Amino acid sequence: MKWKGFWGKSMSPAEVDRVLTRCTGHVLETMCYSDPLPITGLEDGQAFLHAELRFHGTYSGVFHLDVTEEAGRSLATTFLGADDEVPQEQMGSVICELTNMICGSMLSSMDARAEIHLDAPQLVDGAAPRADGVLSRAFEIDNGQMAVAIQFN
Amino acid sequence: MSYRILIVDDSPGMRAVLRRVIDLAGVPVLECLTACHGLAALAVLRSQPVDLILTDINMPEMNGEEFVDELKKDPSLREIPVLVISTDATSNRMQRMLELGAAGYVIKPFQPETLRSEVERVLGEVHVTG
Repeated sequence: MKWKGFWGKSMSPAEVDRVLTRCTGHVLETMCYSDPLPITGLEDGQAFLHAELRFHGTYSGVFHLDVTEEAGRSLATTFLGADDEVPQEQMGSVICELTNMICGSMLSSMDARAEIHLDAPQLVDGAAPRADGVLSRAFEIDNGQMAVAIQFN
Repeated sequence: MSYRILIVDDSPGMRAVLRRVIDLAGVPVLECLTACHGLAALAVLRSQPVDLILTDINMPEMNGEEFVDELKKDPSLREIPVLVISTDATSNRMQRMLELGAAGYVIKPFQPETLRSEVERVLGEVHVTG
């Protein structure tokens, strides 16, 4: 299966996966000093915070980020350089900002000449869909797991 | 010599990070003001002097592009330097922001040193209000 480029070229799922993995690693290393380890999938039975971001323009779709609560709190604490544990609201804000950064970084990497608008990311109930056309990548990170997924319209 | 800096971003987390990087960089800050979108930022700018603006692009109400466009149309505000801080690394967007008059463009995620050097570069060129 090829992801037909809206930008005039095709990317294989493996290529999209590489960009997704690289951009996630880059954002977490730069902003949270975290070194995410790719894994085959998220463990079942865990509760996740789920952020969603819709993008429009040259191409459009939805970007998802799932993270276990303890890992999310750990990312937020490092992101903010906080000495104490961050409150729930601040953690949500950081998870949304990380979603924004990973999605923006990925879309810019895929096509530096695209015209893209990112909506504000939001924490919502649920989890990233597991369906055809959704490309996802899971990671082991400090104190838990996270996954990112992208779905083009 | 100290500076009034306005941070415009709809993410409270990002506003906190930008404030922290500025503090860690040792930039002498007289006051660090914040706004969650362009319209709120214009209201702040019309009520007090500011030496430097750091702004995101994707924001509700008035985005960063519209904000810089409005700012540069106002003779009393147009000289305030604007540093764009955005995840959008597409060349069209960067070029458009610089053409509108932004003094610099920092792509998120950024190393603290990158932001610090850009802030220092831009502040090195401005008239200080504080």
